[in-house]
Amino acid sequence: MSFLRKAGFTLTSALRATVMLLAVVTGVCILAMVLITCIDVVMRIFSRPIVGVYDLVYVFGAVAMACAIPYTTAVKGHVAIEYFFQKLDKKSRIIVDTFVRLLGIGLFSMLTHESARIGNNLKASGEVTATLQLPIFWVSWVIALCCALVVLVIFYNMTHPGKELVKP
Amino acid sequence: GSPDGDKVIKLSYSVFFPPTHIQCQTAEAWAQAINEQSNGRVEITVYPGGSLTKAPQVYEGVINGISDIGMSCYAYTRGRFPLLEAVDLPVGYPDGMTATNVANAIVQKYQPEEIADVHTLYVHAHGPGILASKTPVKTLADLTGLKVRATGLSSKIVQSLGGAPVGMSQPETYEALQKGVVDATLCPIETLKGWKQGEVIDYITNSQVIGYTTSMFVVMNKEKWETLPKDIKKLFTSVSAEFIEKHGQAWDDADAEGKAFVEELGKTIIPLPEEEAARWKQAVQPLLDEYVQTTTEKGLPGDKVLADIQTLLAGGEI
Amino acid sequence: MTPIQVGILGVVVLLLLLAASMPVAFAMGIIGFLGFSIIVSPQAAMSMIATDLFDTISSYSLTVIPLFVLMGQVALHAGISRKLFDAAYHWVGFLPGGMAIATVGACTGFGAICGSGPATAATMASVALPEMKRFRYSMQLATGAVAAGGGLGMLIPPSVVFICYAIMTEQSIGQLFLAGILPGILIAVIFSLTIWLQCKIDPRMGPVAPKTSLKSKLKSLLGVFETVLLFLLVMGGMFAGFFTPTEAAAIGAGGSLVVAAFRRKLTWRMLAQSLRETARTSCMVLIIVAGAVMFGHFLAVTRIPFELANWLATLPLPGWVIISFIILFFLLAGCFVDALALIMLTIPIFYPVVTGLGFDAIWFGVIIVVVTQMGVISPPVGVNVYVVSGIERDVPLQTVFKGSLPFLLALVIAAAILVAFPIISLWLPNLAR
Ligand code: NA
Ligand code: NA
Repeated sequence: MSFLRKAGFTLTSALRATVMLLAVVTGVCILAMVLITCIDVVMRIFSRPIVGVYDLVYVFGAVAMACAIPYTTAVKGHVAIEYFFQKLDKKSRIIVDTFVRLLGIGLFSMLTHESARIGNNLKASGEVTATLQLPIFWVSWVIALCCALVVLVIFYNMTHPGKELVKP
Repeated sequence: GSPDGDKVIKLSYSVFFPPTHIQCQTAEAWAQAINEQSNGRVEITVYPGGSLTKAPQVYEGVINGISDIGMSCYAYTRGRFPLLEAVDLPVGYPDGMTATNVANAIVQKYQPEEIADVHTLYVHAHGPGILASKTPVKTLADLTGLKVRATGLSSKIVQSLGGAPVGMSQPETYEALQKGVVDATLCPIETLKGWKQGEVIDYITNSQVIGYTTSMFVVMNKEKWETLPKDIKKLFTSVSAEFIEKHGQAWDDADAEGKAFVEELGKTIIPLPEEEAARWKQAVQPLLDEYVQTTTEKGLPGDKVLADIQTLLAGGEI
Repeated sequence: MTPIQVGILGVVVLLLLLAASMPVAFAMGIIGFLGFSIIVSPQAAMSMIATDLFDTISSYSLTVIPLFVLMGQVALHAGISRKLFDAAYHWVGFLPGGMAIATVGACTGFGAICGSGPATAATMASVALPEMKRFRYSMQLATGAVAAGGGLGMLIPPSVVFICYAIMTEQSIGQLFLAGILPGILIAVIFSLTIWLQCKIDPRMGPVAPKTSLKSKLKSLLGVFETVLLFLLVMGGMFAGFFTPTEAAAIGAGGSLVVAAFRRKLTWRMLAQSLRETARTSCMVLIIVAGAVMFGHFLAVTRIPFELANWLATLPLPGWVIISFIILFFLLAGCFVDALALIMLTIPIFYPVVTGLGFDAIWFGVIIVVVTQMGVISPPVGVNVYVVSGIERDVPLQTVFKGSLPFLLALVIAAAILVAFPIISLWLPNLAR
């Protein structure tokens, strides 16, 4: 029993650490977007805009938002209507909550699978960004990874009612 | 006669053009023609303006069956169609009809592997992309350091002409021109009316000599295509062949309207004297060389495709 | 089942899932997937939701959201916004609901640069709500004002909705931009009256500040000196043509970091806190947008929008009744479908009808935008309400909806005024014609 608990604790810590690491990636990407755009605007005053800023902002923005999904789910940052749910008795609440979270797990499992497949397709077809021609298949893989983490986070929420994986 | 209820083939068609655009209306006319000539056995619902799949996702959306048929630009998914990139190069298309015919001829002759995952019904392409600016551009020197709205291939054209390409979406461009975030834009003259940008520029340089195009596909999901009865397949092929010319004509009409629009607004159209035109042509030559080099490295017959395009432009046959 | 029946069933099940406390974005995604599966195919549906997620996450035009939210967060954590609101308190605090009125004013100004409703609501909510709490304003009033004020950005140029409408109907973008200005101001004024009236009726909603001397008023302005400079840089730079609205967002974020550093408030801790909040807020907004897109694609293939619009267009009724029905249609449909997608799907049907009845095309564009503004704050699906409630997490969703109701009423009155007096929308464009 204590072994199982320990294993669960380790897994939870690992999940928490991964979610936080991705949140750091989000922060870095957002700062990068700010920096690149500001430099570009200043350089443009001297008619020397950086070619391909559009592509860079596109890639950084996509990675930033993808990596923020597990974090947002972990701090329970998604909006839900709690009003009717709060009126239910405890037993119904557990049933409804489990049902709703299982649907959520289903949704993000599909998104994981499909995003990975889209990524594979993009890799096979050699799609790149418009100007700098940076490959973009990996962005879809990042989205797949993040959706997979969301599945785990929702599973944690289902098995730990009333708790957040990460304190907001 | 009236069709049997369960025998009607219902197809969805995702078109990235907004519903009032002449190309979307031509697509609807195509769907209508299929419906009528099949005696109502085929019903096609058009989803305009990216309301089913957005422009860059149309092709993949057709592969995955989100829509059965789709129309969008090859260039929106850069790298996916390495051989067909040739059609979009600044080879100096005189008009949309020519560009459309060239595009179809190339697709039909080479049937490239890169588009083997869909059934291509037909393609079309807009008239020559030209330069529209807020200050007069008469020579290459006037272009030096000029901030020009361009993305993808056209940003390379701007660079090779000595300008500074600035990337932004088409909806942002109107304001960017109005406020002077950019000084010019590279687009077919039709866009000046379609996206209203003619209101906020003052000069148009007739840079037709380096006129580039953007080729657009009309493709169907392959499995769906295979399930169609033989006579319906035949009908699709014949109606599509008929519509190649209609799309080409629609592009030319749109360009004529675009030209009338800017003339009515009192904007100046600057012609390029022969000597200057040669200089512009010289300036974009490296892009053509680069295309041949990249495709050769990939083992694709880019040199032949480009030669064929130039033959077609010179009035020859391939 | 016909596609239309599937569509109606889908809406019912969506409402059930929402009531079962499923996150709004997830519920819209699930129903979008299931409905699309039934009408098209499960494989297509799966690929549709993944494509929509990818498209929303990698949308260049939505990158303004994290950038503007970061600007707001830095302003909040560096105490910049606190000083701004202190200054506002000195100047307008004596008015009943003065701070909420100032917030609507700020939303109007901010919406003018930003152009995105959810981004405006997200930024203003993170900046203004903690401040209004500090001045003991009712959260119902405060959140309602921010959610409603956030929609004003669509009406005040630059506005993407106007650009798309102009292109579809072959109208001039410049004329439409001009047409939006006076109605935008009118609605801001009506919103202010709504706040003032609520606080007159129940003074606890917006406690009145003690009167202050002119000297302390002027002194309060000193504290906001750099902020005003930053604001002038962002607004002025955009209007003078140094950068686009998207770039203005990055300049604003970078600029506020510089101001924070200048005030010696830029610490690692503060930066981390700002970035965490930015990640959560902007991701929440984007996921809601993605869910709405998935659900909207399902509704599109049910053909309900087409059929409804076609039916409305053929009704043998007087012009103003048809216009009222069209307004009602956009109000209801705006609850579920993204404004731009809705316009793409239905304008081709409505536009000939409206102009055929002799109504002005520019005026109709203004009306459409005002009505979609109602859609973003009306229950059960109101994107701006979700955004505001997601940011101010102690405030339940129904409180924000309750707070939005007076503003919804105000918008109905505004729409009635704009329908009755087309000159308000047309005066400026006519001057320029
Ligand atoms: Na705006
Ligand atoms: Na609503």
